[in-house]
This record gives sequence, structure tokens and C-alpha cells, in this order.
Amino acid sequence: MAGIPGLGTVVATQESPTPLIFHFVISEESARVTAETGTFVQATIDDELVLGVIQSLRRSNRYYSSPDIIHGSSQGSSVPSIYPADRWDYLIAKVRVLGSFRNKLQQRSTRPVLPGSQVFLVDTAILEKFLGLSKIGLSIGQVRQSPIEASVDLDRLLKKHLAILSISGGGKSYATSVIIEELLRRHPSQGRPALILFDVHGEYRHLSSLNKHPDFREIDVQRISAQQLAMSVSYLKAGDFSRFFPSMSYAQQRELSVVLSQLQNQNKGLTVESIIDAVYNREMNQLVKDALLGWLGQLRSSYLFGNAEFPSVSEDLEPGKLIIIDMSEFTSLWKKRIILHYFLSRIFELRRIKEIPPVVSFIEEAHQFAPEQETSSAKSIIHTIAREGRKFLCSLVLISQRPVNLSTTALSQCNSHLILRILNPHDLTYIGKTSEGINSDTLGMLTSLGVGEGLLVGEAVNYPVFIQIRRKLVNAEFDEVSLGSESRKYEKLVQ
Amino acid sequence: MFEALGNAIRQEQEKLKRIQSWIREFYKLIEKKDLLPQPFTEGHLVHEIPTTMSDITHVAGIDGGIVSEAMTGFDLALYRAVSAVFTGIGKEVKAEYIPHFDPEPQIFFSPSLPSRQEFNRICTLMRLYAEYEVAKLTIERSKVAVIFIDGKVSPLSSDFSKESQSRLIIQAERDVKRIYNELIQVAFDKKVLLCGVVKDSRSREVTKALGSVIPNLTKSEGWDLEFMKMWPYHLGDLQDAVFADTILQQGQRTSWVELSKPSWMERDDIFLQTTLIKILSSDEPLRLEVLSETDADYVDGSKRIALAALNILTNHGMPLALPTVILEADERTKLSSAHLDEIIDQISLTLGIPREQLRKRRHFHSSLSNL
Repeated sequence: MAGIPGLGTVVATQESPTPLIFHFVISEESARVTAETGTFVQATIDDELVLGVIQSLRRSNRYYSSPDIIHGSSQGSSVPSIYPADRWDYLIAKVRVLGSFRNKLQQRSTRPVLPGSQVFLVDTAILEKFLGLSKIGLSIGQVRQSPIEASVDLDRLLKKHLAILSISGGGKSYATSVIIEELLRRHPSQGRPALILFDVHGEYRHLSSLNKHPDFREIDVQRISAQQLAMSVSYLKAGDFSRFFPSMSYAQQRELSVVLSQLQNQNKGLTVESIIDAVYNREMNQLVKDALLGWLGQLRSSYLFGNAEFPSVSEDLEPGKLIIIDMSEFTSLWKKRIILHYFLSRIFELRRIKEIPPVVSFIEEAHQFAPEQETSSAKSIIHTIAREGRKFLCSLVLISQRPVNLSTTALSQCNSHLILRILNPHDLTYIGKTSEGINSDTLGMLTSLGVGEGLLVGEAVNYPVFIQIRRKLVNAEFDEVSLGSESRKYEKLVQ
Repeated sequence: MFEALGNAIRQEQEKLKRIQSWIREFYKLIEKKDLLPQPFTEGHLVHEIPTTMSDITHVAGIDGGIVSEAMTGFDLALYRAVSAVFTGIGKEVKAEYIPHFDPEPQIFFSPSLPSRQEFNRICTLMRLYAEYEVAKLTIERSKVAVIFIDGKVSPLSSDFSKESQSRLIIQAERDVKRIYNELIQVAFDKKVLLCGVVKDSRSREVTKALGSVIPNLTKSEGWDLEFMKMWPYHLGDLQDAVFADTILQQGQRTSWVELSKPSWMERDDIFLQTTLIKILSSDEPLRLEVLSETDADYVDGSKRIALAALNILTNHGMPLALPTVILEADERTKLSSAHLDEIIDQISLTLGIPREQLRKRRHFHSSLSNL
């Protein structure tokens, strides 16, 4: 243990030590400063090295825990003037055992540490190995209470999808930006997936100026505004229409399917108008026709579809390139869902036949697109990619501030979770149920996380690890505007 | 039955009231005298206790703890003593501990002693030895001016058996006398005042001393002889603590009274004194004993330090009138049966004998930590 600072001594309590938990007393002032919740510690049992994380800390002082003494000091002398209160100040740390090393093999801990054992800070090399961090991974920050860089393996983090969960203002978009920066600055030799980001609130505009930063000179970021966005109706199938209009009957869908195949056989540029004409001219039940014309009219007036596609999924999605679909100008959730459905369906289809590179799709406000309770045109494709995307290297990053409203199917398929600050008790309970490796103590710590602090759990790491998200390399052009400063502008206008 | 008991108690209470009333009258008379004769070493019977002291002065409290059990075929005890050395008294107390904050208990083991009384006696002797050894160590290692020992300042003659049959006890007594003599010598050399703080004292030394001087006092003018005739009845059987509790206000003490040294002490240069001090109105007065070198110049100053330290450190507002420096030492020496269980478990594992069997024959368990 030479060189590793000692922290304290294991104590025997009624509940510990067990193979899963132990408590230790921290007496030394220097150790009291070092130890925090989340600090990784180690102790030994013979030739076995047991690693754990401080789950909670309790400070104790017998002179301040006795009501008699406090009451007495209010009538006589003050406590510090007659008692050596500082000598009785100590910490009791509760440690959750993560696992152990024996014969250089990482394994589940099966023996309790011995009472009286010394507890030390974990050796960083051992901790890196233990947590399953990668030297050439995505460096998203620093492991909290340690000097270790939180460098996460690309495949482990994203291949089986990632969920980023937090309250509004908890740092979701910040963490997402950091992950995107890391993905974009990978060297081509390391492999770079194509990235597409569905930006619901226009929070990622600053990424358009990413190439002003020296690390991203060669990086191509394409931001697509509402005016530029175009989707080709020729890629739609009757099933897609029925997702856009969930009330569409089977008969209507069948007739529409026939019309679409006839038009596609004519090899003409397909538009909503041409479909409307074809439906209008085709003989069918008048009720079916009227309904179809109604649906299609609604689609035409959305101005979402034309006969071309922009950005082109087949041509614009390139390795190491980011496409931002800025949906902030759309107020209609129906339209946003259609856009998401369209592009995700196209990406998945082309990825299945390997016409495009591996893609990572970032979906902001994922609970709006794949809600747990409601129907949504985008839910089906999100479920499909969540279930099957891993096989085709088509990954999702679901970002949500209301995990409880996010589809269980989608969330459960995200094998890694980056959980930032969560306050809502329903969301906390839900996260506790859906995120593996989180116990009630860890869950409680989520409420006290600061902005920029997060808990990474699941496939990405061997054990849940608290991370201080690193600073973004490129900052947003605008900081979050304060209510007061924005109101002052209008005061001046009125005057 | 309860009626008879109630009557008896009522009679005792009334008797006490009469005695207290007499004592108050007596005190009024005695306060008019200019000088109390020997064995009182101060003119007046009641004095104020100092309330301040230098915060750089080192004051130590010493206490010992012991836990013991008579096992099958052998007796076992764990004991230790700790000295808590305070500075910053009255401002911000800082403490150091001698030998350590949490010293390893020492183990006493012997084949079964003939009786439980002998075992208890040897336990007491071991605890005393540990306390005096730590007191000596404290003087050697720190700049302490005053040492408070929990209990009497020196072993009494009655602590040593007159007809002890056990060689073990004889040896332990010799060891205690030897270490105590060494302690006295080092205390004298370093000009450290040794004090004993006795709670719930049943001594009658102050009232006896008064009894011895009253015949002389009554020769003075203005004394009511009829009133004074009652002193053997009122003072003759009265404990010092009751007497002092009656005449003292909070923050006062009785005059120092010289005590005769225990017969086992061979040195002639020993000066023993005692006073009763009332710091808390909620508890009986404490008895403070001091042991010093005869005619030493540091003694008056050290006594003042001892009184001030006791006044400050006992004024903690809790009903228990003991200074925190002793409470702190007591807290550090506490031994519980869990400590003993650990040792017994190890013996059990080593011998391969179940713990229950080791405890079978003489199944008594006594915690003597408060001896």
C-alpha cells in the first residue's frame, strides 16, 4: 500500500462487514478532507483486493450528540471551552463493495473484509481497469473523487444505445455536446460514425461553428433549418401514412397502398399532390376516398413533403460528420414526430443494406417521440432501432427530462444510462427500476448532483461511476438568458 | 410496612433539618473568628473558588477501567488507564492523551484465585497500578501542572490487606506502593500537584477537625455555651459532604484541612490536604485532596490552578459534578464485556474449547470499570 493514503479502519457493526457492505471510521483530519461520497476505496483480505465506493458519510461527535451536554452548555460554559470536542469528531463511511481482484482476476466479492482492516484510496491504475475505462475512448470528463479520466469505450457506450436523463437545466444538452465533440474529434483511423441530431429547441446551434475550433477544422457540421428541410414522399409506404394518421382504417390503408404502388411503377417524381390526384381519380368507396383525401390534404398543408429529400440520407450522412435537424421553428409535435420518423426510418433502411456508414442518432426530448402512454408516429421506428439497431450499427442516444414518460421498451434497450440531476420522485423510482446497478443510496445521490455531474451506469462501465463532465471545447453563442435581464430589455422598450 | 418506613424517613429528614439549622447558626458564629486553628490551614471556613486560569496551563485527568471474569480454572481481567491532558481550559480545550487516545488493554491472567473477594482486590490493585503508572508517565512526558486522579489521591492503608494469604496479592500491593512512591518522587521533582477528586465522599475529616477545635473556640467571648454543647450531637456523626452542602453556596469551598498521611507511606516530606468544593447546586460538593511536598513554594499556586480548573471544567450544566478532564479520561478507558469476549473467543479458538465451557464453573461476570 506504499504511497496510497490511508483513510481509516473497518469497524464491525450490526449490519456490516458483509461481502457487499462495510463501514470504516475516518479519524485523521487529512483523511476526513479526502473522503467524500463517491470516493473509491480499497481494503485487503489476505491476497484479495476488495474495491468499493463510499456510499454515504456520517459525521459523529459524542459531545455534540448528547442533548444533556448541549443543554448543559447553554447553562454553564460553552462545549469547546470545557470539552476537547474536536478530538471526538470523526466520520463513519459506508462503503458499497464493487468487487475484488484475486490472482489478477476481477471477480465478485464473496468474503467480508476484516474488522480492523485499513482502508486506502484506490490505486488509479487498478481503478481504471476495474471500471472498464478505455485509453482511446470518448473522454467525457473525470471520474469524480479521483484523478482518472472518464474515457469510455465507443462501442460500450453507444453500440447498445445510450440514454441521457436529467431534469431540465441539469446539463443534458451540455453532456450531449461533449459526447458529440468527442465523436467528431476521433481520428479516422479510430473509426468515426456519422452523427445526426434532432434538435427540438435549437439548443445545439453553437455546434455549427465547431470548425472554428482548431480541433475541428476539418469537421463538417450541417445544420438544417425548417425552411431547408425536405422529405421525399416517394420513400413513404402506406404503413407510414397510417402512422402519421393513426385513425386511418385498414380499407383506407389498402386503397392508398394500391395507389402508391401504381404511382411508383410509373417512375414519375412522386408528390403529395400526385397522390391526391391519383386517389381522386381512382374508383373506390366514396367514404374511403373522402377520408384519404382528407388525410392527404392535411399532409399537403404541412409542407413537409416534396419530391426530394434534404438532407439526403444516402449522401449527406458521412463518417465524422454531424447533421443537425433544427426543429425549433416547428410548433406542431405532430410534424416533429413525422420528421423524426421519416429520417430514422430512412437511416435504418439504408444502414440495413450498409449504404451508409454506422450512424448515431441523438434524439432530444425523446419522451415526446416515444412516449410511454400515447401513440406517436415516431415511436415504432425508435422501438425498432432500439431493438435491432445494434446488429446494424445504428445507435440511438435518447435524451429526456421525463424518463417516466419515455417508452419503457425504448429505455430498457438503452444499455447505458448517463444520469444527471434528477429530482422528481417518480422519475427517480423509474430510474431505479430501469437502470441496472443502482441501489437506493446511489439513487438518493442523484438528487444532490450539481450541474455537470452525472452517473454513468450500464454497459459502458463495469460499475456505476460518478463523472464530472468535462468542459465543452466550443461554447454556446448565447448563455441561458435570465428572466430579469430579458425583462429589463422590455422595460427600456416601453419607456 | 410503608407507613413505618415513611415515618422513619420523615424522622430522619426532620433530624437532618435540625442539624442543618444548627450548622447554619454555628457557621454564623465561627465566621466571626479571625483565625481557625490547626488542622485548618486558612483563617476562615468558607472561601470563593477562583474562576479563571491561564489557558496555556496543562491539567491532566486520570482514570482507569477494568473488566473481569472468573472462568473455569482461571481468572481473566482487562485493564487500562488513560491520562487526558487539557490546555486552553475556559477558551478552547485541546487534549492530548497519554499513553494513547485508545490504548490496548493489558491482560491479567491467573489460575483461579481462592475467592471472589481476592480476585476483586487484585483487580483494584491492577487498576491503581495502571493509573499511577500513567500519572507518572504524564508528568514525564508533558508540562502538566496539576494532575486529577479519579478518586482518592493516594491509596489508603485499608486498600492493602493486613493478612493477605495470596502471594499474587502481596506482590501486587508491593508493586502499587513502589509505583506510587515513584510517582510522588517524580511529582515533587517536577513540582506537579497530585490531586484526588472524590465524588460522593463519605469522609468525616472536616467535621472531625471542627470537633477538635470547637473546645478551644468556645473559650472566646460571645459564644453561646448552651448552643455549643450540642456540637457532639450535630457534628459528631456528620459526613463532610452534608456539612459542606449546608454552609457552601455555589462557587465556594471549605478551608483546606491538613490530613494525616496513610500509615503505609514511609516518606516524611508528604503534605496532604483536603477541601470540599461546591460547583454545581444540583449535586453534592466534591472532595478535593492534594498531595504535595511539605513547605514547597509551588503548592499555593498549584492549588489555585487546581481549584480554578475544577470550577471551570465542572461547570458543564449537567447534574454530575465531575470535571470534564476526568470524564474525558473515563471515556477513553471504558472497557466493555465485548473487549473481554474477544479475548475469550481467542482463548476458546486456541484451546478448541467452547466458550460456554470456559465460562461454566464460576459463572459470574463483573464489570469493575467504576471501581
